[in-house]
Amino acid sequence: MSRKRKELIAGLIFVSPWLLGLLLFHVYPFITSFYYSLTDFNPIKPSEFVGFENYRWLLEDNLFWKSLGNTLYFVGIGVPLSQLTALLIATGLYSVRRSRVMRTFRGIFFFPILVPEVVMVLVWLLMLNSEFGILNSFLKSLGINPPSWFLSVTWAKPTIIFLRLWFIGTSMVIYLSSLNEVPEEVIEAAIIDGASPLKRFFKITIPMISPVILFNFIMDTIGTFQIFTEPFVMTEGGPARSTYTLTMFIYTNAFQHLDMGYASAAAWMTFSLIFVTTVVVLAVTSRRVFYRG
Amino acid sequence: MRGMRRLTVISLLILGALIFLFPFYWMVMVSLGKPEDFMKTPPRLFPSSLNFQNYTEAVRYIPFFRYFFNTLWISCMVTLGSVVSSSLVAYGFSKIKWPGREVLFLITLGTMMLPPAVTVIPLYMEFKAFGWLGSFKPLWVPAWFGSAWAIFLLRQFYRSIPDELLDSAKIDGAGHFQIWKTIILPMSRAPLAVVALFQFVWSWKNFFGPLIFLRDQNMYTLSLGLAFFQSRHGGTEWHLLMAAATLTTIPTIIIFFLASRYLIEGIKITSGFKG
Repeated sequence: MSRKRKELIAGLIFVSPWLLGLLLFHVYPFITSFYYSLTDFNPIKPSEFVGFENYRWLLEDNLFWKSLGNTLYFVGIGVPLSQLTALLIATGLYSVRRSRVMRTFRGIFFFPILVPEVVMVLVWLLMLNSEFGILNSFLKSLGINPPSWFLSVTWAKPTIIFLRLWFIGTSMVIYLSSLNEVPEEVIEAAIIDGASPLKRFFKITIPMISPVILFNFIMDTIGTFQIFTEPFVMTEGGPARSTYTLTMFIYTNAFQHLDMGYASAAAWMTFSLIFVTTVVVLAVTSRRVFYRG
Repeated sequence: MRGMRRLTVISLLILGALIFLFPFYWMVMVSLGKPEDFMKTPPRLFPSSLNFQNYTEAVRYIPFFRYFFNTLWISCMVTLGSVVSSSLVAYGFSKIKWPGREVLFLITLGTMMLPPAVTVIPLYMEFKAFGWLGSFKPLWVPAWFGSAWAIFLLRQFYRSIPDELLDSAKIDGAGHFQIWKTIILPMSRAPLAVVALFQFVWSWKNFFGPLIFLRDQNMYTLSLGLAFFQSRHGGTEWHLLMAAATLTTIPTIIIFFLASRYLIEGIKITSGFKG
């Protein structure tokens, strides 16, 4: 047996667990899910091919549009807000990078992503409780009349976006490490030329880390398109479906109504939306993002 | 001027840190207090007395230990499985040259972009056909086939190990498995720790998976148990729920204090801009 042949066999043996896992838990479900979306499929009765009927029904389903609108709200407002917060904190940490307190601060801002989302939501349910929530007491002491947060159609979505700001740890760490890689000579040259700190930040730092900003935005967008745990635990999609999201729509149809064909169609709509959004963002930004080297 | 700016930044960071820490402070305080301490306006910022018996009550209020061991079992199996198999697979993707390797690796990366909501329905039917529903298997067996994220991270690391180091072993007649075991594994303790820690934390936090695949209340994980307990009981006993929430968070706090450096390194590597 030739050496090349031997290497091929060895390589395939080493990756064989994943090859099998890839087929069983990723490729097969991915393709099957599209097939399901073309059927009237309920696990307790035989399925029936219906073509694109499920998609047609989806377009006429007000609840689907509502969950799509809510999800786009979470993406459109939540992602920029989270990313801005992450970048601000990273910039603050970067400016004290040589001091000992940097690690402590970084740890504090990083820590919440290790805490189960359910725990965070429960704590917020307590803190925002309309009878005895501590945040309400605090606002009242400042003379502000607090809204009813997650019980209000207007405030439920902003409340969830707000509590998700605690989960910026990953983005923040990535921003911080990219800031550390901006060459100091460039910054020093700008200081000698008399550029103000704000100008340096917007004209040098931001362009230099733009690939990282793009990366974080895309990852956060993909994640937020699938937002589920926070609205599910906090409000169960309410009040008046104001926090009902696409993934909740899929979950309810598939596992409560057992309408798995319809749910699969919604899942494919969600997937297409994520895919198209990512491609469009990459295309639009390709000229503005600065890649070094 | 410079000192002023530094002072402002530090003050803002302190303010931000206090805001970030407050929910956790409040969780612990309520877990130690009496209901009348905080169920009033304004609430006491520090409980009137420290009631550690809240904790002994909390572990009975929800079947805490049952949920704890369920979660621990799943998390340990996920961690063990993904460390062992991802390490082998990453070796096959970095230290053995074979046609098709790069294409397969790109597909592997692509799976990370697949939303779980798309694959979950066929997976549910698949696990049903395997007879796995009603067991923990849907939550941990897939990890034993490797995780795309872990394969990516370990491959990045293995690529940084020079091939010359392996060549001398090859001349001595060592096979790939021998090289993996005696050279690669001992060198990759740090990246394996990163993989293990993240897999453990993710599995510990996981809510969507247990929600879909666990039906029997006795098999609930902590995240699932806490969420259902809150919503199903109108007059929530907040001090007990917060005690249970604190206990649920403790393992992640321990991991944080022992290994936050590894976790932060891991995020930097997988952001892909360092390799």
